[in-house]
Amino acid sequence: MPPTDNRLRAEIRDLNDDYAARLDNFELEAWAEMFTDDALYVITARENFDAGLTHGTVWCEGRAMINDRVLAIRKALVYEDRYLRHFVSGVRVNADTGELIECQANFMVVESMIDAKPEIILLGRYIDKVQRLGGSLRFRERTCVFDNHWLPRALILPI
Amino acid sequence: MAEDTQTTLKKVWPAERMTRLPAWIYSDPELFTREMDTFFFGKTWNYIGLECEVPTPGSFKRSWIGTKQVLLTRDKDGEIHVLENRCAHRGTPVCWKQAGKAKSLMCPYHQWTYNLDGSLQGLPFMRGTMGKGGMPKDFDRKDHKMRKLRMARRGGVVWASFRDDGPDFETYCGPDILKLYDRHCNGKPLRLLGYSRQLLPINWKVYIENLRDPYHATILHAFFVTFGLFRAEVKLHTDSPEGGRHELASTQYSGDTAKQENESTKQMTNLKSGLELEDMSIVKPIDELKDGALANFNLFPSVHVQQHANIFSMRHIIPKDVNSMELAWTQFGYADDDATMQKARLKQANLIGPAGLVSIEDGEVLAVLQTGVNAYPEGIQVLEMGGKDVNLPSDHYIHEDLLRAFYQFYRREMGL
Amino acid sequence: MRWIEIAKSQDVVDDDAVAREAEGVCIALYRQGSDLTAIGNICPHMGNVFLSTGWLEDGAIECPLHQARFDIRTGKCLSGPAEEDVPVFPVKEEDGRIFVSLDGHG
Repeated sequence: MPPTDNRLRAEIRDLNDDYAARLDNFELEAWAEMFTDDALYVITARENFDAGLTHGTVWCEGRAMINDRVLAIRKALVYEDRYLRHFVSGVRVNADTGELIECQANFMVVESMIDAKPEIILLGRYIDKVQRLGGSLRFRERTCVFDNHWLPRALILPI
Repeated sequence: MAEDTQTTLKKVWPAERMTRLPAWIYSDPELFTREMDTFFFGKTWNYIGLECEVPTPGSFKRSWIGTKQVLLTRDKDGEIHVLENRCAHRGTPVCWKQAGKAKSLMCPYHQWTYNLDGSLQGLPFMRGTMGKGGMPKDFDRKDHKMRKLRMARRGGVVWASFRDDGPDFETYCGPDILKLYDRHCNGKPLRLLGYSRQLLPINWKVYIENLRDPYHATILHAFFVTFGLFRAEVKLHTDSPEGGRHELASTQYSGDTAKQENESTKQMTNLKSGLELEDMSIVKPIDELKDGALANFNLFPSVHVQQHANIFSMRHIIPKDVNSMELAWTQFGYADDDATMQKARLKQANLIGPAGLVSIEDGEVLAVLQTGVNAYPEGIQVLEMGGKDVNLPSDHYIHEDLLRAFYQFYRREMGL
Repeated sequence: MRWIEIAKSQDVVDDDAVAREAEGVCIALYRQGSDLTAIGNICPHMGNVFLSTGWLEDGAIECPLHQARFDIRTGKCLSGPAEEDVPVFPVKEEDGRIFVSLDGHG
């Protein structure tokens, strides 16, 4: 492995913190802007990922599909109020080709709802391809591979 | 107080038998145990998995029939079996993995080792050691197997029954279900796309009911309505064949008219109209079955078989206890799908599953419902939409005839 | 052929298995009347079990763990769960001493 570029890793950490903050603050439109127009955003079980199975519980190709999910969450879907906190750690840069940065991080997502103790709803890792566009970094690919055997009763908000 | 409270509750069915449901049936552990015996372990056929999940000799896959764990295996000769995942020795689940490949199955406790057809290969120190211990002389390995269940296979799907004295699979399904079954599980080799599993804090019947409740579909699941994709004038054919045991629903889809508005869609969309999807590809099917239909059915008790556009899905209903069930979604396509079709299936699958734009509310609402019926077991629920008896088949959404038909069947089987 | 001395003749008798090790290779010696044979002593099924601790009957040794059976002359697996045979080693007996050769067995 090449020596870690600390400056780049700090940038990727900031990107992940920003990503988590936007979701935790329910800034879904701002969250969607963190993806490139041709982005692939997938949430899938480790069971699928390890076996090379392509199905994702969420499988969005392109910003339009990501935007549609945001709009559906805002305008169509029926769900109880909930607050999510994303805890992202273990950020690693695996490769940097100049155009694309391949990186990963662990996530833990805790959901708080009325009449219930906070619950860890998802644990897993992000597997990313990050693109430098102008001055900022965007996700070209973000695959959220969760370790959980079961998802909770409903996976309403993005991870 | 005339009404029962939880502590004095008499567990009876209300006098108006067809149109009333008692809430205690969703939280009574004794009833749950009886339901497992009557339905999942009774003279029924249960969904196990797809043949393509055990593609080669030595493949195995864990599955469930109700609360009992079973294994789907393919032995060294390529034969498929369904086994109880239970060591003949002390009852330990032999296989601890979700899926995999192995030459034999070894119970980790005492290393009793089985072939993939369930026969016992051997066990440690059968003859003792240093001339001491060991099994009695009359111990015969042939008498000790992982129990093999009665199995049926049709169109690449594997089914099993704990009972050897029930009807054969085809008789159990009946002609109406088989007609829909054979539409897409027609013998063309299938391709496994993957799984989504959710743990629902609900009694399993709540989910069965939800599948048989077209009334909620147009109201709760606002996605199609919000984005102008629902057309109430399209007929929905529903029925509850085999005396209320199963359920089926089919409708027609036409991509060309998906955006047309008329009086009924305006009425349905209420204030929510005017929104459009940026990417219509998830609602633009490829008419691969050449009949323009969407069809699904609940093959009672264990599975909801769904064909929605190009989404092929097995929703495996796995009760855990009176208050919880796993809903395991197996997504699949055909082995010969080209890249376009594979992508269409992946994209459209956003509509269904634990995060599905159309199905997401089911887990949400049903979980909340369960808290209500748990707290008020003395409650009585009303089923009068569409009438007071069973008029099926039906050609519209606004009825509860399927629920009345189901509970007629349920009461008969359970003696309630 | 290179011969390695591994046992005294008197150690190996009918209806018994004798476990030995030659240069790290586990070998079991068997005698049936005038036949003296040497075969691999580790069950190829699993678990690094010494076959010599198993059950010897009708010219076959049965693994104590999962009852795979091997012909003590040919090393051939006669019944499951093992799927491989055990190796057979050349053996000779001279002046009350038993020798085996590992030639060709690495």
